[in-house]
Amino acid sequence: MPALIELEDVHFSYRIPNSEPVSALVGIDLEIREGEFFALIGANGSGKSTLAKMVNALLIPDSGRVIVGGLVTKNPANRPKIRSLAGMIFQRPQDQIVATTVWEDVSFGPGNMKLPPDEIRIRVKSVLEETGLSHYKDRASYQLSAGETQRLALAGVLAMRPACIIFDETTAMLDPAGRKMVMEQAKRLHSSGHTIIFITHLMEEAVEAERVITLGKGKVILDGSPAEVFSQKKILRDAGLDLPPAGFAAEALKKFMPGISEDFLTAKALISQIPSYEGAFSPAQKSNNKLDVDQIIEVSKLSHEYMRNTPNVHAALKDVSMEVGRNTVHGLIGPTGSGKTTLLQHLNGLLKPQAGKVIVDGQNLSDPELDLKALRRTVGLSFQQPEDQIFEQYAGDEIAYAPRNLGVEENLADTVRDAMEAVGLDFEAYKDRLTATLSGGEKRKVALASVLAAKPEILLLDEPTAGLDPQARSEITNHLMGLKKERLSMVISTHQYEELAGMMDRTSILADGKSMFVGRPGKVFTHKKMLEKHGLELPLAVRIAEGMRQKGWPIPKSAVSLPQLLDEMRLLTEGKR
Amino acid sequence: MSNFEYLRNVSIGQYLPLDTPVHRLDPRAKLAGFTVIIIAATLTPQIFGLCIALTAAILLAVLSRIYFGFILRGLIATLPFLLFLAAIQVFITPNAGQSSAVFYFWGISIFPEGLRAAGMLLLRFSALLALLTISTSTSSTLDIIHGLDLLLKPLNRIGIRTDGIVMSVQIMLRFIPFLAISAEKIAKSQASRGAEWGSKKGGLFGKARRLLPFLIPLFSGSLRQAESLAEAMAARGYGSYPDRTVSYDYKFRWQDAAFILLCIVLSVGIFYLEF
Repeated sequence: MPALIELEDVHFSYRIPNSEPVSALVGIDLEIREGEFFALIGANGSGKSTLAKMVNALLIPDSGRVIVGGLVTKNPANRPKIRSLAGMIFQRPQDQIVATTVWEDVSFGPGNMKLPPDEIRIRVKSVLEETGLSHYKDRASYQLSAGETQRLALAGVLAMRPACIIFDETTAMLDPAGRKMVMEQAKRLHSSGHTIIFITHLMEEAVEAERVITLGKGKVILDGSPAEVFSQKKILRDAGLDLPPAGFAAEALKKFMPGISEDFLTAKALISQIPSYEGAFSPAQKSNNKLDVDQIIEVSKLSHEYMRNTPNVHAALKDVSMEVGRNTVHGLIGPTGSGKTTLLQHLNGLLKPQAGKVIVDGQNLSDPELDLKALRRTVGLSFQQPEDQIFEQYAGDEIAYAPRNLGVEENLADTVRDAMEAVGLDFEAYKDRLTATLSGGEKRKVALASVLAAKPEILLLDEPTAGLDPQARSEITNHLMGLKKERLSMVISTHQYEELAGMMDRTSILADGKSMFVGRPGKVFTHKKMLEKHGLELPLAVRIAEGMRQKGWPIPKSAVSLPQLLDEMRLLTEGKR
Repeated sequence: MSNFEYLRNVSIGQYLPLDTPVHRLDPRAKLAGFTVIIIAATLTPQIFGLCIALTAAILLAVLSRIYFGFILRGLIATLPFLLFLAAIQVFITPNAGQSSAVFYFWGISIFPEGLRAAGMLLLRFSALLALLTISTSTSSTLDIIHGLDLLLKPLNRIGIRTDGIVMSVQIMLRFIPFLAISAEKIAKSQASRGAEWGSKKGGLFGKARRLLPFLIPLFSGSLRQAESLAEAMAARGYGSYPDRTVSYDYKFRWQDAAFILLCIVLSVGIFYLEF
């Protein structure tokens, strides 16, 4: 196969006024063949997105050359052709939609290429069919669901008939169904002859590619098949990356299953290799510690409609009931658009119940005399991507905002210090940091601390780990575990429950605004069919535990996260059961 | 505090997707016709003309099957403000001298000119509001954009580039709902952290300061979004050539010509006819 894209000794730095330029790419040599499917991985700031923008001629190298389909990107006359050859899909689909309707948006790219109107119509029509959006062609772009918006972003690029499609962290913010859809589309496009560049920080996605290129500090540090790249554990970890979850799990399980290989890329391969259990048989104990009967939150038959009394009315919650025990953690899992956020916003009085009843800490939220300020002091809510709402210049001031407003009586500095320490930020080092210069993970921590600073008794978290890289994600998870140990009552809504499932005492599955099931996570994850029907997946640890049970291992169903699974194995081998 | 649904309260600009003769008009005819009639109603000095405009609005509402409640909802929302303005008109309109006062009370005289001005103001606003509501609920954003594009296109011949203008309008219309959504999210988030909306403490400066936690994320979010959008547009080849092609062509039918003609005749009537 001929090379479609060539990078020759590419150097690039970002120029920042009044300071040293930041180098992003340092001598990249790369050849991408036509029809290849390759994944580009690297820690934050390793140059992944910069490299992608080089291929689309959004950025031009400081030195070296980028050649796409035989055309040098440096020459401005080549750029229209290059942009139609290499299409790019970015992270937030809603930021890529230009037009007010679906049809108009898809015709934007072909229009820019100055195609005749007849040709544009043919292309738009066929692309809409391909992406399953034909029924929505006249729909306003802001009325699309998250999944439809994602498909529209892809359709807009496909209408230009590119030879190469770059997915620039497209899956980072999506729920499992959305991620699966994007991956399936990438595979389908690959099998129809497209070259795919898939940028991701999820290693389980990288293993699906034919070739994995790893960037570290602007250089290519690994380049090869997934098996080759993921066998280089040391290099990967030095570059701030990790193994795919299955490989990571295999590494941990090896201690208890000496025969098992370490180089698994997928859960399927790992599960097929689990040896039969040969230890003494002891039936799994039923844990019968009853949950605290003292309910701090009671929701019964709650319904909510948005855009009520307008033609665009939309039911977000239908007859949802749940109870949260004091000092417990309740998980809300469900796909995007299932009503999780709407439910959370009822719990601190942002939304008033239209039908049904909500009682929080003994107060009826339908009561017109309700003291909202007092309620919001008791119930802290951290929004999805809370870092988008930071407004103060200094991290310390941002965190002090809530206690100042809500009148927390203790010393303000101590309150801020406590909140920062709870999320692992050093008070002295961070209180005077400019919020604009913090990394994504640090901003998330500041935003979380700014809610904790009001000393809530109940903490509501909307997608606390979404959109973070793996390292920041596991840090936030650990700090949330710390809060659970301090017996804070929490309600966590999430579609990324791989890590968070382990800390939930009870879990509700929400889908289409309805509560499908409530119970212990171990019980919830036995409803595989129902989860799959709503685009949700079983956590990896649950799948491994199921595979082990089939081989005779006495692992209880309550083990839903890797640490819990490992604890069970330790109990088994130490013979304490 | 209970209602954060900003999007729901936008009444002007809500397109009602129906299939009526008005909806089916060519976007050029719709845009040009409504513009002419709205300009006439804005500028006319005639009270009779305003009555014609209001009648025309009612007829158009019937033709486009828009129920009056929909139009009235917008009118009622602005009514207190309108009445206040009308009251001011009553008192400040200078008396030309010929007429005698209609009322006297507490030493204030009310002259026919004042009442006439107040009536004109109420009539004018009602007619304009009705016309704007009807025009926006019968024209989809695409109608507006395509109409604008086609109507401005002749300017290209004298060297004025209109593509950029049309694209800006398109993007503005596309982002208004998003701005409402992010404003809602930020307001809710700040309220969760104890922000008080509508508090009267602290004077003008204090009020402005309280808005900062709301405005800063709104602006920085919009800027970030604008940056990503610009990048996505460039990646899809925007700006590759000085102009672009479009996927639509409209056929101008006799009904469209008739609509424009009717609007022009009405506008002349609105502007010149005296009772």
